[in-house]
Amino acid sequence: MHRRTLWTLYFGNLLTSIGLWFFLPLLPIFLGRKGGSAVLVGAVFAAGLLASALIRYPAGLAADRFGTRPVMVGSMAACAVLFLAYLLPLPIGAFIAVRAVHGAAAGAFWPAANGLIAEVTPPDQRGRAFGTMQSTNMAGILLGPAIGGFVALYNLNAVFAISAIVSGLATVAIATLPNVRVEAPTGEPARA
Amino acid sequence: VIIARRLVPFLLLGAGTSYMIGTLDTIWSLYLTSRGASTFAVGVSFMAFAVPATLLSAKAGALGDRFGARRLILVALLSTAVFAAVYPFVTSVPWLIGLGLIEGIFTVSGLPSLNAEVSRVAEPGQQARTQGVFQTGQFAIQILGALIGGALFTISPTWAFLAITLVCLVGIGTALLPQQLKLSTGPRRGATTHMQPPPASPNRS
Repeated sequence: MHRRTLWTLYFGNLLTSIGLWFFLPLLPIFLGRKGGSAVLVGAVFAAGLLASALIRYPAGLAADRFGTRPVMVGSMAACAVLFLAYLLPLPIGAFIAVRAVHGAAAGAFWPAANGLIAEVTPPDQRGRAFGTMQSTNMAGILLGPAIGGFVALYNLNAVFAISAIVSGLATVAIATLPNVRVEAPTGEPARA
Repeated sequence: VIIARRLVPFLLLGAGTSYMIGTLDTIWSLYLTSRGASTFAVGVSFMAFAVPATLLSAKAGALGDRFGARRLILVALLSTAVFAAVYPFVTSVPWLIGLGLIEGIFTVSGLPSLNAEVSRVAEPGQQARTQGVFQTGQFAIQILGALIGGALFTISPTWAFLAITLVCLVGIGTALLPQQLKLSTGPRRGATTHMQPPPASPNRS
């Protein structure tokens, strides 16, 4: 059972990573074409990183309380929808906020995913499980920019739409995972 | 706060890698171009680092399960420390790319084991939030690496790289404190763990 859970998670994470790295290297070019300066590009990226870092503890807390699936599905669904927000006719400064929310959505996935791995994997197999998760992430970093760069040759906006579709597929895959929660040791009943 | 306090040794262990990622993300392309590399060569160098991470992470994690996290983490820290100390003295771009490839092989070996160790010290029912606190800490160190590495690079690339070595040495010192930090030594060697993992009682809904 846990093998199927893990491989579904790996597959979902691969899609997620491809979707993210499909668009991330092209974001500076996209912002530049909209008139954004290098300073603005830096601010957009910093906002994404900061939000991704700050969301991790609350996301982990939510995953422990409500289960890993709702957090992962919510995170990925928000991530998919927010790819499309870049295509809205927004003032250039608004992309800082868009990237912050997007970074938070993407960052919320990780504590829940790692928590799920830890819960369904025996302790003496966790190294391999975390390693495979890292592999799928790195595979996305390798594949995403190459495919995204090719698509951008024809249409830069299509990159965002395709990223949304890929993340949407990841959401569907992750929605099939079991919702894993561990009851609190004090006997506090787990919420349904 | 309690979770964060418990994770401090693990953050110190991972600090070398997190700091290195933050610094190299900032200065690596600048350093390569200062040595005459083209943008294509810069792209290849990042790929050279990522390919081993993709291919070998699962195997590295399995080795950590078998032989213990301490060895794998030490290998990763030692290699990162040595490579960071060597980079400033290498002037050939192909050599820098080649060294990056080799460093990638060793550096990835520690991260899965480190994550596994963090999961071992999590209280029952707190796996995800423990991972969340750990990841936030890693991010913070990565951001520090970017800021400090960038600032040092403007003074001298050598200082920026040697700072990575210094941070790795802190991690190596932490890993060599067996009494304070009971890392697993592998299940077949009589593992001594901080805490036994909770019995698997996943509540699926």
